[in-house]
Amino acid sequence: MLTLNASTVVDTVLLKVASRCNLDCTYCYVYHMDDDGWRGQPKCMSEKVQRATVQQLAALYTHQKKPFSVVLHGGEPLLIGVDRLRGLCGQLRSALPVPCGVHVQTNGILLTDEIIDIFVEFDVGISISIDGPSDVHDRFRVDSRGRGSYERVRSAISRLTAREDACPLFAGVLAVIDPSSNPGSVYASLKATGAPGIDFLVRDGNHTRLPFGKARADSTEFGCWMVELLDIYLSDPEPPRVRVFDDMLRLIFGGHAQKEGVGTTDYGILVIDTDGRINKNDTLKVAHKDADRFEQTSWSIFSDNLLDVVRSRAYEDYYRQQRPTASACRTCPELKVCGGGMVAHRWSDDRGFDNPSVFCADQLLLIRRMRKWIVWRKGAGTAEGGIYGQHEKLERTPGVAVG
Amino acid sequence: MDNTKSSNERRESQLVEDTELELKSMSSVALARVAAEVQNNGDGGLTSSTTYNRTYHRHNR
Repeated sequence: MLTLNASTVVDTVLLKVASRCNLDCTYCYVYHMDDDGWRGQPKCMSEKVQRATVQQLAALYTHQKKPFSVVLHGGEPLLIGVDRLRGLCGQLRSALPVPCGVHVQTNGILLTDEIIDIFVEFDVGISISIDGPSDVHDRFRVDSRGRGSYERVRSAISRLTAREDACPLFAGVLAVIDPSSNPGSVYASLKATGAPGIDFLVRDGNHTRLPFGKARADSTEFGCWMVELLDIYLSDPEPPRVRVFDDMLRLIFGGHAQKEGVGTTDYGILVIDTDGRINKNDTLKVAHKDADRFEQTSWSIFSDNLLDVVRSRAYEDYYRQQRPTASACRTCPELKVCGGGMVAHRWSDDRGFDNPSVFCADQLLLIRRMRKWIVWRKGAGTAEGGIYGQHEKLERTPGVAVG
Repeated sequence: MDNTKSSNERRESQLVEDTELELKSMSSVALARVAAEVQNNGDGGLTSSTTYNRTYHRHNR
């Protein structure tokens, strides 16, 4: 039996089942940044690519023995239609039973009851993109004619939450931050959807091409927005989950984070493109064109064995890429929490990825606020045993501001 | 002078705000929830963080 490198594990596989989208969100990292690789891709993943992919994923699971998750992604994954979706979900579930996860990240526009039936049948977790109330959402999440999509997305969420059988599948909503918006109204609006979890993303960018809403690399527009949101979240007597905050707080307490962009965990994210090409994490597109390609080679689900890819030096190098190289990061006392941010956000044209995140100042501001809340809570004498051990250790580290 | 006053006012306002938040920290449901997860799970809270909503994948888009 083949043996995989025990230190490189695949934990997430993105299937780009559709390379096009029925929305034209002006900030999209797939269509509106430097990479236009989608233009050369087939519009949808063919059944041939689909079958080959599922077969290889089954083999990967057999050999890796650790479960991983598959995310139907795009573009807009629901564009493949009901029949193709049913077939794909059925094949995936046969090859990758629970505890492997199958998920879909959708804009919700095409989420009908018939499609929800498929997700119920094959236990597919559903996450829907929505940015807040209509004025915030419709500013950027528009269709090809420039029309806002809020009402259609909100209807889809209502359709989903109205179904008792589908509610357990509703993972949450995903929002991209507009730093000029009101965090309170965004939080209230997203909480009102009934989603059990909310995740927030900063606007993409890097040191050469600054994110929208950020004046300078050391300015803190996003940090200030997040601090305001954090105060609202931690004061809420009935809070949903806010993934990014929970991840960071968990790290401060000495626990583990879940997703990319925080903490110092390595990330085993692979992408299978619509044509069957095997790529790195697609968020790397934010750095520059083709940043999500393996440099020395072009791997395909047809010509290459996924197990060989995962055992290769190129994959191992990519797997370690989450670890920041910038000296400012390596000596930063908050590295265990921040993790250097998302790899793509470290990029500059002159220094490559050898920089702190362009959101470094924002992250530090947010972490300081989290520590302040924890100090307050500790001072209030709450009985949480040794939970403050990790926090105290960092608090005593010279140069770490805690409030 | 006006600038100093304005700055002091801002600081006072921040102090009042922080005192209110300090009180709220005692009853923070979200903070207590995460603290309990890390304390109660040998794996540092990852299990409970990944089972509550079936979103256990690492990609954040």
